[in-house]
Amino acid sequence: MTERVSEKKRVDSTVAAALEAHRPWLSRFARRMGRGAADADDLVQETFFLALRSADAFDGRSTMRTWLYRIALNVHLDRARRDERDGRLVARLSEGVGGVAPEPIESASASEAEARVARAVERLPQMQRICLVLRVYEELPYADIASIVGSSREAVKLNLVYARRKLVEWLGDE
Amino acid sequence: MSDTKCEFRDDAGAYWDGELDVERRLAFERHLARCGACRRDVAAASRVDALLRAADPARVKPLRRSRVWRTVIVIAAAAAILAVAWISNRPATPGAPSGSPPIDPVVAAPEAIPALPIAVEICPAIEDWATFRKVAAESLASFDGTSDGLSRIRRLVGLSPRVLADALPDVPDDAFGGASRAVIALAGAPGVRAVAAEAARRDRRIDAARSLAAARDSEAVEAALLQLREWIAEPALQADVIDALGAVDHPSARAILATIAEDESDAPGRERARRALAASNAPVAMGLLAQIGEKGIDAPAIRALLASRSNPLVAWFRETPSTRAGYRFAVGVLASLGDRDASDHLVRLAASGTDPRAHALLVAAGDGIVPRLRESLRASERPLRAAALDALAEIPGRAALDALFAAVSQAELREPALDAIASRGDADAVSGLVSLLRRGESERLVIAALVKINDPRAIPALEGLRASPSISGQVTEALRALRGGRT
Repeated sequence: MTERVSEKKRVDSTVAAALEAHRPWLSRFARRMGRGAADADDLVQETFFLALRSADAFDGRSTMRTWLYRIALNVHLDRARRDERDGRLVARLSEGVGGVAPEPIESASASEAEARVARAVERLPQMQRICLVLRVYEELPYADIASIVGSSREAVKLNLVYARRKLVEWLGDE
Repeated sequence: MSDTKCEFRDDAGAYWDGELDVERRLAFERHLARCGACRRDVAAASRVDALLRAADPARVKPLRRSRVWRTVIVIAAAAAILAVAWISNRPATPGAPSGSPPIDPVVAAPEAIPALPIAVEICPAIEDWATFRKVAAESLASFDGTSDGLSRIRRLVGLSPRVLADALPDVPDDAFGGASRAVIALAGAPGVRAVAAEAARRDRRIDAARSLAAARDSEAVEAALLQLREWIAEPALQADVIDALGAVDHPSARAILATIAEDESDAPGRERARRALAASNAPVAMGLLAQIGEKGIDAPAIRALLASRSNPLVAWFRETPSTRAGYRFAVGVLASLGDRDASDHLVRLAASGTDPRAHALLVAAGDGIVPRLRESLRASERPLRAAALDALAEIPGRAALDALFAAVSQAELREPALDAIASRGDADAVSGLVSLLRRGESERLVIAALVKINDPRAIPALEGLRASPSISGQVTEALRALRGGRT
């Protein structure tokens, strides 16, 4: 293994301990991004895995929470792209283990109103949905959201404006 | 929404979110007084947020009291009656430790029970808390490790499992191991805290670590892992903690073990952690081991488990959150062992660019996957060739280097292959590059690669090319670079 790879793999158990405390809210975040319960756990696990692998890259300029949001969001986006563009490959990978299928989003138990809101949020463009989740559910300030999504504060503000306008239009007087 | 001509048209949401600076906020509030559209926008933002929060996908939905709970309540009540009857028949014990004061019966009851009238009715009868605690300690000390034994203790403590946590310090050292497992099983997270607190007594630490590792309740596991992490730095405890972590079926436990398994500065800990990971027999663990170069994994065994529908590990694939990730890791393990199908999956996955771990797994697979990568270099699909080159650039050893030199002979791969050879930077590459130079193959690219590797052994070969008019300028520059700026 090259030195570079070895360096990446050097991890710190202190970081691992610190990460564990973040599991509950990361799991909630994953669910709010439209992941089913099991898929959310998977996403959190991969987030921790990547965080441990890149512990050295955490420079302390942002909070650990913001850093983890960024990693989790990237994992989520990677998976979304992968699911979209490479569905057939995932299906092939699943063949070997007796047809493991992607986990369905758990919406059966949601009431109709909740399901309608969930569908409306799902329809939003990706960046608007992300900004909305980070603001409304995670209650993050615009500056933190901008840092997480790699955008400007003004762009976050506009994404929220457009997202809320669309939801008002789609949901009416729910 | 608001009039499009309004200068504040995009501020309503930010106002609602408290994100306007003071000046802008005051201006917006003045504006609100005369702009109905903006007032509607603020109201709309609040309504949208309320709708979203009401439909929060991560919200914990309230549990309904089911028939199961009613059964639990009835059993708990019966257990409480038995406990009180048993205690009231015992003679008072003079000098019993005063311990905790009598606990509020409602607080003492398990979470789902507080509203149960029977708790209020029965618990005031337990006037002598110290006696109850002593009884609990005795029952813990006699715990035989069986489920029947656990049931006996459960019947005794009934509505007050917390008494077990309080009684744990009173259990003799030689019975602490079993008692601590019972406390964790019956009292959950408070039990974990009690066991961890007892570990302050050095004689109890190893038993405490083992019991924490045996926790099954998810909250208890989380608490146990935090405690085990704290102890791992203590040399005297490390071996037991590693074994304990190996016994915990939890991704975080495996992540901790992986960190120890990679620690080059701690050979005994590293080996023990690798053994613990391998013994855990989880595909994710195997993947972690594959990533850190562990070769002692039995390929046929993994292949068999992947093929078997009834194998418990296949069930693990299906049931755990890591299904897809676990499968990919297992594929990585197989690829490192030369399994053709797995190697093919992995190369295609890396070529698709959809999973960054695929590249890391290819690199970790090492020599085992080089033959497959050589084939990929000749594939008609460009992404497959690129993925193979990227992996070969990072796989250490002669086999990968030879594969890259072989790729130099393919016109379309010549430049990226030479780039990959240069990026490896290994000294073995210099002699191969010099040979290419002497044969007059791709001189400009080869010289650029030699400059990147920056090895003075290339100087004599370059000196011989000074007279070559078409590349003399590049040769002079290369010689200057290799001599640290001197001509």
